[in-house]
Amino acid sequence: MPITEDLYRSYLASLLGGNDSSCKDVILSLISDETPLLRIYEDVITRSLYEVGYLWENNCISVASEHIATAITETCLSLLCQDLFRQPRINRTAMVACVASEYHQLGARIVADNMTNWGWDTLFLGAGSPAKDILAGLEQHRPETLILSMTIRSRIVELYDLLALIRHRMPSVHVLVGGQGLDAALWEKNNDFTSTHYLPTVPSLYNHLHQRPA
Amino acid sequence: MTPSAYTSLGQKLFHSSQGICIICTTDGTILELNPTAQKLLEGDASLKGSPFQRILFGPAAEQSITEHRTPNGNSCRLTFCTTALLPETFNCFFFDVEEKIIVWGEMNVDDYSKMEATIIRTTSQLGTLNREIARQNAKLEQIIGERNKLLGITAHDMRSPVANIQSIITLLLDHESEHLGPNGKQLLPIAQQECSSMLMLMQDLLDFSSIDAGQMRLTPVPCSLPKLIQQFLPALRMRGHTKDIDINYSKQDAETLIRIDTMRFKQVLENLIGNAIKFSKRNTTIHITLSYDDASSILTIRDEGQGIANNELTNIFEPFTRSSTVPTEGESSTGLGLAIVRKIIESHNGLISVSSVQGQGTTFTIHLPLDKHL
Repeated sequence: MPITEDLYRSYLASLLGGNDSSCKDVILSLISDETPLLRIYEDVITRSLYEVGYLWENNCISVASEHIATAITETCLSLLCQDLFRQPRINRTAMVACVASEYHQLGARIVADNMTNWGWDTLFLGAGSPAKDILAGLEQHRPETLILSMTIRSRIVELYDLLALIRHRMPSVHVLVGGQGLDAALWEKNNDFTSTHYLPTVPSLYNHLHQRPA
Repeated sequence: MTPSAYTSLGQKLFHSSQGICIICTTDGTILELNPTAQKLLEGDASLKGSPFQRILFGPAAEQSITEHRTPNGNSCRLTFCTTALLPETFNCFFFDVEEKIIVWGEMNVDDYSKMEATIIRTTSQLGTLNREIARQNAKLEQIIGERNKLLGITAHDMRSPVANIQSIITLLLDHESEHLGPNGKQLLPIAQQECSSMLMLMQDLLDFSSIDAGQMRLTPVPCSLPKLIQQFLPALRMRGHTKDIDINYSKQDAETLIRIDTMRFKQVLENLIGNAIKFSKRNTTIHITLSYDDASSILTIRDEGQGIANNELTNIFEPFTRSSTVPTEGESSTGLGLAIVRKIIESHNGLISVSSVQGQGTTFTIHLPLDKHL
């Protein structure tokens, strides 16, 4: 089933109306029609979240509506992830986490799910991961790549502190950062971390990871 | 502000506020509700004229308005029944105005902030857990697949040597028995029997591993179930004769066809009748009945054996499960037969269930869908 504008609009209307079963029906129908997962993530899930964020920023919807949309999206992601782990593995491991006190985990979750779909083994730590948990995870699982998500701009100091700690304890780990709270200008302003890159989108992450030798 | 400005403010708050406002008589009869209270509390039937406690939820509904009243300026928490069926708690203020009681209720922002934060956190955690479950499921499926592969290879590779040993023993017993000593004559038949048991186990392992891996090939053909059962019955009765167990078969007259893999169906009958024989005492009867409803053929196999304990029935179709009931004459069992039977029935879109009464016997019931196009 192609993701038409009408289909997307109906999903968005259900999302904003708190109609979780209609949202799930759209996702399930796309899954059963074998729509490529990346398209569902990009053209339905991510696009709708951006639009919900835009509506909230412009006072068109309340923060409660945004939270409802987040909860419904979380359920839809659970439907999407059921078959992800059955894909052939490529023996590359990544850890995906949100910086401490960051309670928006959907972006990180979408990244982790997409990477799993590309064959990576992904360890997803979820929202608000304390620095000690991230470091413990790195030491225990020794992933090739760590991906950090930050959706609120004001968390930049916490992100830098965390990166400094990681560079001190584990200098060789490849670190990627992204999320709505970051942009290229903000990242470049104070960034002097080695082997650490800012990637704004899932497709840019794909290109970056697959140009880099395992 | 002038008194008229306060009046105007009061009217605006009454009509536009998201708080609830209920005006009552001094004895607690509701006179008027503001639009928010109407939307939240008043369903199809008007609340005007009802006692105030009728709209309360929980123990508070047992008390009159005068018992809830607090002095002007102080609030109390009251929980209201809502049209959405979810009770809601409001901080309520009571005001005496012109021989009426005005109840003004506001939601507690702190409560709602905490609730919202908790729901967000819990939803995120559930999402993460759900993802982890999907990951572990995939890992488990992979392990089960590898186990089945190993089981299949092992059973396949061991089958030929065991069959060869069995043939050699048969050869010795048939043609060299005069050269055998008393020990050989006594022990070789036991070894021959053990080989048969091992071959049975290996066949079950092969069947189970291929079925569990989704590799069982079915060749369903249209056939008449009564005729098929009739065809297999003599061989099944022969098995019963070894313990003087009779097999009684009764069927409802109907000419209906189903689509089934006949050899796999034979395997189902052999397993179920074989179990019934194993767990029944001599000189009892096994009853096979075939009937129909609108959608399916219903086959029941009932024995007069020892029965199975209720707490063991739930796992009876799980592989490698053995009940505490033991075969009456020490017959062997692999613990895979019923798991294979269930897989075969489910592969035909059918259902199998079991019921049992200890001391009276066990009944297996199979529903197989009728093919309306045949």
